[in-house]
Amino acid sequence: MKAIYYSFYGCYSSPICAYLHLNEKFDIGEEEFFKIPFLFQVDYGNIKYMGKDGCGNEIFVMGVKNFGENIKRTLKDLMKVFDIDDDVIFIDTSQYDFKFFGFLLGLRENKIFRNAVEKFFYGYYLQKRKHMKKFVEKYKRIL
Amino acid sequence: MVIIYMCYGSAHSSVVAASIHIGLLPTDRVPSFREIISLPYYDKTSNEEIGTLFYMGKDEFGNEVYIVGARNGRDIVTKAIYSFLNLYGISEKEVLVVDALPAIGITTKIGGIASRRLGIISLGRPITVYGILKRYKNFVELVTAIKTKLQKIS
Repeated sequence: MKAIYYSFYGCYSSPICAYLHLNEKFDIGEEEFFKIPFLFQVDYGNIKYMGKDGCGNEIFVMGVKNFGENIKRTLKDLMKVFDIDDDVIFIDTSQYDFKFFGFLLGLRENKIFRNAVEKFFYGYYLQKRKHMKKFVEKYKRIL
Repeated sequence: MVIIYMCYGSAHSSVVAASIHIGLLPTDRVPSFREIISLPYYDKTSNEEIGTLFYMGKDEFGNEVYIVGARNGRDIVTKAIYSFLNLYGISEKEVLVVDALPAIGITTKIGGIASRRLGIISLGRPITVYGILKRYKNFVELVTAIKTKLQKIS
């Protein structure tokens, strides 16, 4: 089975949720947080492998802009066309992204603001971690 | 091989290109209004169906031809298709996604908005056909290029 965590950018909430899925932990330390694969790496449409969970499910992340529903429909139909016999679950993590993310991501490119922006990104995760963990656990039970 | 013609809403340009590809429309002349209007899925797809793959038929090489709508996310959806199939070991040699939207002009776009988005079918549909007929050469060129590419691959 495959689980694809996706959101508009696919480089914040999705990799964090995928990481929480793959790692049995509640807290992610600041240093570890910034080592999460694909964090802040914008690459729309590409499905990127994060790892295998304890049950052997493969976990992926993807950025979809506003085309999540389109993409899901197309990929599910492709499975029929190519006779792909597998279970794929798409998990929308957009609720854990925030407004102005794109702007802040751009600001992060500037050395002067980088530190402050990263502190904000990590702080935002700390604020949402409880909900995120619950959210991921819900899907892990389904899987 | 699977060939997917992609456009905004899988209602106009992808339908026409796929129809030329499978021989439902001619390449040596401009078709009639009636020929266009009677194509399967022509100006029919609803908003909720955008993203659905519709089977159009088989070409002379035995390739299966489909159409799909991707709104303004054609690049992203194309990447997602290749990326997803790659997970299952299906290479880019087995699927070809073709963006058919550049073949149409502003007339078909206006007609499409009137018919599909605003629901004024009686006005929008004829405008889309008029636009298609005006740019029909573009579609023939697009499909010819794709078929040349397919011959080279095989």
